[in-house]
Amino acid sequence: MLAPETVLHPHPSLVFTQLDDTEAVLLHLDTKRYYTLNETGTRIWELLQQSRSAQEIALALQDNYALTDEEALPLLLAFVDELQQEGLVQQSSAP
Amino acid sequence: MRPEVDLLLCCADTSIDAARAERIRTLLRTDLDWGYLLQTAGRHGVMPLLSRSLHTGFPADVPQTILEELRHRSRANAARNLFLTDELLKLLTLLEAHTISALPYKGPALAASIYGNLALREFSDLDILVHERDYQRAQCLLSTSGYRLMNAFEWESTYLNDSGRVAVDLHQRMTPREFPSPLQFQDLWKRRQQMALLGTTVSTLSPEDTLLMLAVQTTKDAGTPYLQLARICDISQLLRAFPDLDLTALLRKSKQLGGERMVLFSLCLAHNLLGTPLPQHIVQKVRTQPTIDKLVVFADQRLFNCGERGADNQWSINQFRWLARERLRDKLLPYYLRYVHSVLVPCSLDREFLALPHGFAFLYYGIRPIRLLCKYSLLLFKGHLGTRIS
Repeated sequence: MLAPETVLHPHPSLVFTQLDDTEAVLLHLDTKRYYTLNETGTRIWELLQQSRSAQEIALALQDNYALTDEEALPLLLAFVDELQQEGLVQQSSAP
Repeated sequence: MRPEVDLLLCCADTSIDAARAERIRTLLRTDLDWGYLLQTAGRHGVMPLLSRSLHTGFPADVPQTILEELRHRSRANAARNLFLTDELLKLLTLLEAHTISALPYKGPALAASIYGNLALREFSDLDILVHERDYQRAQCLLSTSGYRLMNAFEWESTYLNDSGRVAVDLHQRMTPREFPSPLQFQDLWKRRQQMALLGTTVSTLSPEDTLLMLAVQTTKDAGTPYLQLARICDISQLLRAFPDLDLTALLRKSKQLGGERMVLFSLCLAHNLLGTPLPQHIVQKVRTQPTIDKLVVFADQRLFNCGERGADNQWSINQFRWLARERLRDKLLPYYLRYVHSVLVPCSLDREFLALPHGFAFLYYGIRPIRLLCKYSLLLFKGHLGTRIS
């Protein structure tokens, strides 16, 4: 289970570009596999690039998409879980 | 004009106004050959722009399978562009580590500088320009870094890496000698600009030089299958991305370099095909040069039906290039190289024909006509006379 203070970072071998306002593409340079992100996934990815904690990202999602705390955190956790399974993010605890 | 081509021209842009959106809706209601549209978008390198325009503005008017196909191709293109951009950064680091100044142009550098998005252009190789004095060193470096030489021309070498996934065009000049470019490395390097590519700062051409480069490439390729609509979209997008571009100063400079007509032609082609707005002073300047209209008509007519014109093609291209150059020396140079230089100046075949001691090399100027006379008399006798003299 991801602790709220956990800081997530994109894997250093990942590069990212947006297709348009609703979709983005991630490429893992080591595996040469690519992944697509929808609009919310893209927003979360942008926040991950800023070395924010899970709690901060959940708060930003609440602001951006008018979500409640109960909605934002599970959404984030489910997404991060998928990213971790693919080895796309690394985590560290906030200082 | 086929409705598919009309639709492509309307969609090959990053900004679509109300009038154009209405035109697109009208075209989407006609009986379109979607296979032809996708094929033409691919041939002209504008599939990412087509995909983005249709997805963003008209998803309900396009068959779902077509939208999915476009999306699939766009994602694959974006992933490939990211991969190639990373390879470009590695190559630039390698060249820099060996004190070779290099300017990436077209490819990722152009996508990032004018579209602000690596996914909106298609590119299959990486173009890197180096100073002529560093060219051989850069060639050696590529050869010892996992790149295999595929072709060597007098102006560029093409390489493919060991995995076969990365093609590099290493240039010491931007164009072949017979189509002289007004852009020289040392001047481009002085005017270079910094830009970010995947978070790394790299040097590339200034916006003014980028426009001049695009104009040269468009003129060089007009009438041939190498000219893609994407090149003209780049010109249009560059004007949008850099609205403060001083076109008056650019035209003045390009005139000094013998490239004014190429710039005017390219701007007018973008205006005719894509509706790119041009400043009034450019429109007035074009009116005083009726040649520009002829050049635009030539390129416009051949852009979507290149290769269907048969044997008159090369003759027409020669005529086009004659008109597109404003200085007599630029007009005459291809003919000089083809019919004078290639006949008189000795080459490696002459040295193979007769090995002379060092210090007697001047005699090859006499040996060459004799060798050519023997060779082509023999070919004429056998009925195999070719067109290339070597």
